[in-house]
Amino acid sequence: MRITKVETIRTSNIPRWVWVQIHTDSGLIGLGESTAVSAPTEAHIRAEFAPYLIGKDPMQVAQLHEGMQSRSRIGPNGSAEWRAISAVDLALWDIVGQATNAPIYQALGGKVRDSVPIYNTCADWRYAVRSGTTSWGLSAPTIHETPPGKYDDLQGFLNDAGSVAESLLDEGIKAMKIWPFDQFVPKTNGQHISAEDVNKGMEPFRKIRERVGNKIEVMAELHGMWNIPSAVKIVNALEEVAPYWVEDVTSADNVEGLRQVQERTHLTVLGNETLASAEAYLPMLSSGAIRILMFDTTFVGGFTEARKVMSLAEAQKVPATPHDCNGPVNLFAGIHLCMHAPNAFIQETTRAFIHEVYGRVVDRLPRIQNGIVYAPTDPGIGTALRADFLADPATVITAVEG
Amino acid sequence: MAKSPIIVKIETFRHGEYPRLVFVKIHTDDGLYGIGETPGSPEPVHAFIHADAAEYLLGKDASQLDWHWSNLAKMAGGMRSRGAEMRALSAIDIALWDLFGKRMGQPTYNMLGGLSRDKIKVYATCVGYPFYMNHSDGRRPGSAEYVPEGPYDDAHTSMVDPVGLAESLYSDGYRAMKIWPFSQFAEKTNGQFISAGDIEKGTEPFRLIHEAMGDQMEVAVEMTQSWNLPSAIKIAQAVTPYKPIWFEDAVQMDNFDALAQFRRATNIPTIASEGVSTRWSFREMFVSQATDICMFDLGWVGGISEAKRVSTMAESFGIPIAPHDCVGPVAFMAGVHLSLNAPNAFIQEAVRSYNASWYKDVVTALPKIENGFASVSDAPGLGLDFTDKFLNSDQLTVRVSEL
Repeated sequence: MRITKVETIRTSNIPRWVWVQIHTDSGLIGLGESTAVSAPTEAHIRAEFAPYLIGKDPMQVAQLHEGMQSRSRIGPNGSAEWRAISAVDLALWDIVGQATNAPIYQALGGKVRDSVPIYNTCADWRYAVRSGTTSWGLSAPTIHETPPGKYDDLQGFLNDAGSVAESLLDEGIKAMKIWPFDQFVPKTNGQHISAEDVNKGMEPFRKIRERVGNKIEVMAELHGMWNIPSAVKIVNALEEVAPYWVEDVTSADNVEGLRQVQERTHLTVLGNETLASAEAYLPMLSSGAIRILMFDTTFVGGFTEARKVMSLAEAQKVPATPHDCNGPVNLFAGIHLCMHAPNAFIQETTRAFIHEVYGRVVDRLPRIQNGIVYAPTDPGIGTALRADFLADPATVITAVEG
Repeated sequence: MAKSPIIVKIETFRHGEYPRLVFVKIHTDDGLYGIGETPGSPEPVHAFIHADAAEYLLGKDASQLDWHWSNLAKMAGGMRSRGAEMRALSAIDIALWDLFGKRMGQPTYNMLGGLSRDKIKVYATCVGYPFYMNHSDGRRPGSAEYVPEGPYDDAHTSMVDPVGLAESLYSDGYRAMKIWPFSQFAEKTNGQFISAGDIEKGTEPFRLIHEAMGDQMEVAVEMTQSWNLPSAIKIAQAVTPYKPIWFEDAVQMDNFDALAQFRRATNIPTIASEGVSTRWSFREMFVSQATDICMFDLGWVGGISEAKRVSTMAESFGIPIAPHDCVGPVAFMAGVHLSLNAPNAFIQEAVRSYNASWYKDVVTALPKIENGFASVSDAPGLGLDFTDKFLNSDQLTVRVSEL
């Protein structure tokens, strides 16, 4: 089998997304994805990878992954180049799965479980448009004045967190993630949080506990924006409500700092989906800076790198959980890894994205019932871009052909 | 308070003869501009500058260098990139420093805190003329059929006549040089194994130069991140008798524990690395005791701002700096300004063939290299501009983002 064409696909509706479709002479098409700032990602795929990939055998993912790394001047840690590698790697694995009639978890060596619990990240769908700049959706006004949709979990957790928790429990979802402290970051660029703001940030957590007690797990997300003393203050305050984990307590650039925060709390510190390559996770794992590892397949280097990261974590007795507040292919990728990796235990989902955005882009969604996601059964990644999405005037497809 | 200079226009230049470089020119509303440059995969850098960075920078106060650095560094979903975004930021930062100096009427070395020395020792990195040795016809320097393209085709000469090369450099005033004879063997095994025969062949130039010139010419060993740890250690042991200046980029720069293991296996200094960006990565490297000497590339580490911060941090670890250049004239000029300023600088990389050829086609001024030392003029900012030849070339592609 040979690669004949590499397409990058963007939509002006959600500029932070990029997909890659790899076409082969067998007719199989592999689908990959990445997010964050996507213009440089797309440019790198087109200029550096497409000419290299065309004519190659897509089944030799290991070799092509090496080849892509050598065509990118990069060290560990996230970058446009690693996001580009991630998108292509996912698409190559999708072809491998389709060609061997195996879902990805099967191609990776099979499943250890048939399903895994999910938790809900309390964003609204507009968050997909441009998250990740300064305060993660909490600084008004949002770019799009479009209504938030049915699942307005972002305003929901800020104003009426108890009701969001109830609504999730009604759907059978028993864990939720919120980030109420982010709204105070811009005041000092994360250099200081006042006692008053700590208290205000605690309110949603308290409301959840008042309304539903311990029936729901709550994850606290700090987005790596606080310095160490502020992070310690917040984490210590959070002990009152016993969150399942506290995520990205301070910048992932400072592994020693993460470790210092972890040492000063009995809560579980989790980190960090922004890293790329297994090597980037090594110091975090070996120093005990985190007790749970999170990665994102569309940032870390695709399945090839994600499985390495999960195995490293497993060897260190650290559970690993896939990030998804990003895109539909990323969600499927995480689910496959959750079925395959012994140390997986929960999959992130964003119900607002799944129900209000993902379905407009891909032809199949994962099967989620009662807060549990089930192993996909179709070969490969198990989803593809919808014909009407590809035909949409807002969708821009750029092809490089042999 | 002084009136804030507002960024009104960002231009990028790409040139067909130097396809791996992106040049940047940032204009402010007071009519001044500054220039910058970055190497490597250019398309994503270009895309990031115009699609993302310009949106942030246009209309902003050009004097807020630190604040812009901090915001641009985490634009990618909170990721502090070590890739294309960081190279783009490096070029932007260099241009903002150039602007800053011009606005203040001072050379960049003064803006950084003034001279620690008025000239810096240079060593010659032995590449040939074509940019990154990209011969379109696939000819390889060192092969029998290769015809040198001028008197300084140093990559080729380093392989066929290393002593002749060392003598030629010596007569030009250089007392130090850098070569990478082992890298040609890495392809065979992707750096996973090196045979005794290849070690002997790779060691030969070091032996010959050392026997011919002794301490009159010091030679650095560039290992180009090509080898796994045991192979790198074997190479180091083989070259050690010829007293090289340092071993550079001995292993891949993604695991500083491995680099620290390499360092502990040899008494010759370890140097790393132009492939590392940001103070956070260098901090990990220093804490891991993985290097003796700190090298960075101004066009990649995060510009002049980050290079200065890394240099100061290195000083606190007792680590000297040696700025990289095998890249382009603007970052080279910036590197020399920093080498003249930083108390812990001791040597600066220079490429004889580039300085004698295409660097002059691109910029109006270069550091003066005399008797193996580099110095710069006291012109404001970096003290160089793009040449008319460069700006009027039909191989130039210009893209503009403006208010």
